[in-house]
Amino acid sequence: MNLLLLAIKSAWSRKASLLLATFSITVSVVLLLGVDTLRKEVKNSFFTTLSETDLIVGARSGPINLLLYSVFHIGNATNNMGYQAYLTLKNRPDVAWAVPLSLGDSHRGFRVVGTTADFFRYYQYGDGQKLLFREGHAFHDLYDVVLGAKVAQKYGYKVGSTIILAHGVSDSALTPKHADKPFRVSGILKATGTPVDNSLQVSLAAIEAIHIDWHGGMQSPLKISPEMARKLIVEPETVTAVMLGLKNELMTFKVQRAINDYTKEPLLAILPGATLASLWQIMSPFEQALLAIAAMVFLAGLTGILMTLLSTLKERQYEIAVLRAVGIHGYHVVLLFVIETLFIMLLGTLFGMLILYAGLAAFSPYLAEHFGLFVQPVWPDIEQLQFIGIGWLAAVLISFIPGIAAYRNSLNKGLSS
Amino acid sequence: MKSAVNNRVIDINQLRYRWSGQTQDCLSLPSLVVEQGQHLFIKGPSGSGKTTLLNLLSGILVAESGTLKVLNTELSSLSAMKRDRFRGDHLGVIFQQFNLLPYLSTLDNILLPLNFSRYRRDRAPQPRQQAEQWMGLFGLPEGVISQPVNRLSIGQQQRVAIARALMGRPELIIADEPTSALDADNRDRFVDWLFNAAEQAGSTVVFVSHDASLAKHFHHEVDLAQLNQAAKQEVEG
Repeated sequence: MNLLLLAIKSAWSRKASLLLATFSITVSVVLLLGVDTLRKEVKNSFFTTLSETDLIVGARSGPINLLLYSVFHIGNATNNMGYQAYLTLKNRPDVAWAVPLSLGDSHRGFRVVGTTADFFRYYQYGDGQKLLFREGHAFHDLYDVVLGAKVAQKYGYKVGSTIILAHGVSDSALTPKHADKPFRVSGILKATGTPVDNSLQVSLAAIEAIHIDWHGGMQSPLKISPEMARKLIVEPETVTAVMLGLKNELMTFKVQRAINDYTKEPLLAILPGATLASLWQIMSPFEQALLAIAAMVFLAGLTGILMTLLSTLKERQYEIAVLRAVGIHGYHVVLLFVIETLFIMLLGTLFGMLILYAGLAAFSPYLAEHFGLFVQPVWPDIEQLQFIGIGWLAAVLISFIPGIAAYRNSLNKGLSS
Repeated sequence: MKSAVNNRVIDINQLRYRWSGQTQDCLSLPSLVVEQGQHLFIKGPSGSGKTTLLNLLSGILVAESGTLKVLNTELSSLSAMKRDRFRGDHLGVIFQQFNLLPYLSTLDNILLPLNFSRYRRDRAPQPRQQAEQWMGLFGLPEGVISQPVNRLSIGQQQRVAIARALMGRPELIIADEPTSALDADNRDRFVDWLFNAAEQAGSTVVFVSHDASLAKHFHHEVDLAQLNQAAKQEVEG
């Protein structure tokens, strides 16, 4: 029997008290890896809010501002861009597709996006996932509306439900409503984990139709009926932003420059990926804070080990005296504590990973459906292995404290019992 | 006699020890010699420096001055690691109680010294048979050897401790108050068993106790309170 076996047998005989330390490591590992996995998935999901779109174009303002209002529906456009400019962009030979976005209306706090049916064809997120209909189809009729997953979920809308849009984006009883022109839900999208879930899509013509008898933010007393509006609508004058897909990605910077130099009106073209990255920079302190919390939980777990080991010192005094009597060295005494700690870390880490991956597997359908987060129980990545490695190293270092205390004790008390 | 070859198991001369931070010696022995086979009873009331002497003999502590030879080896000339090995090779220790590791079987407890000493492994060619023979000699029931130690009574545990200390036939057995947890009957029998087994193994026993009634079993006896100059000073001062 060697020292390793002896240490394991000894630890096993005290398993009740060591179980608590193991449990605290299990919790730490679940939290550390869980937080890190979610953090990475949230980041990944954020960065791929919009994919395959090469440029976003809007009236000239700041890049982050443009991204915020056009993609995330946060804040408002200070200016719109001309519809003619949209057509010019759409007809450029190097542009494959152009999807206009017309913002400004809402429904019970959710933004309404006026667009074309191309939106459902070209909007992509994740690694090239397209929007899919859970029920129904895109808008065909003028008064058709497509709902994002959360909009439908929150109010229990079905295909065929009738809804009324509000003028403006504030959600209050005082917000004027487009009550005379109700919309019928033609389709409901599957959850994507993007702002699309929180928005409603109608055609550009529908936006024109509901505003046909509005002037200066108020409906004119001369109301135009929904049926009449069908005949009277004209081309829109403006859109809020345009999503562009290019035929050749390598031309992105050239097209961007051309749009920024457009002479008929001041336009701004941004690369969504680069702007998303700078937006994420703003959020990085939160990311750090999350990691710091996980690290502190780990530290608490290590403290748990230290307390447990220190609490065993007295009961182990006789054991160590016997072992010293049969000739084990001082460093062997320290090693007993190191082995015990490694044993705790091994079990704690294994249990933690088991629980985490079982949990992720169990909750991944829920996370995908409600948050659009696609977490898969995969092996820990290099960074997570590093965390675990640092944790183990810290644990070993910490185990030297009771180890050396026990050794010094064995010198002071010697072999007397 | 100048020759290094003699039969002295313990040879102490002008040995002094002082705990660090203390101004007075706690142990000061002019001379103590134990020849091979001459079991020694050390009467050691508390405060007589008993613990210090045992820790010096077993190489846990090292004296500042004087000589302390065990089996003709000057312990202070050895490194800490070598003293540990020396202890594992040549010493068997019996404590007052808690001699056995609760997570090992009785047999594994008896064989424990062999795990850390090649010297003793070589001197115990058939350790299991030896253990069983001793268990029989000490009047322990058959099969006790494979039982967990917490099933044994204190008296049985102390007998297992004799077997553990003697396994691999170390030259010196240090017994520190090994009978204080036993009743009077068992005390005398314990000493008999210890002597019997020690003679078989060729080991010399140094038996420390404050219980003077046990001295009758021994031909050689010292009173540590008398011998230890430091303790005497303290009492007289």
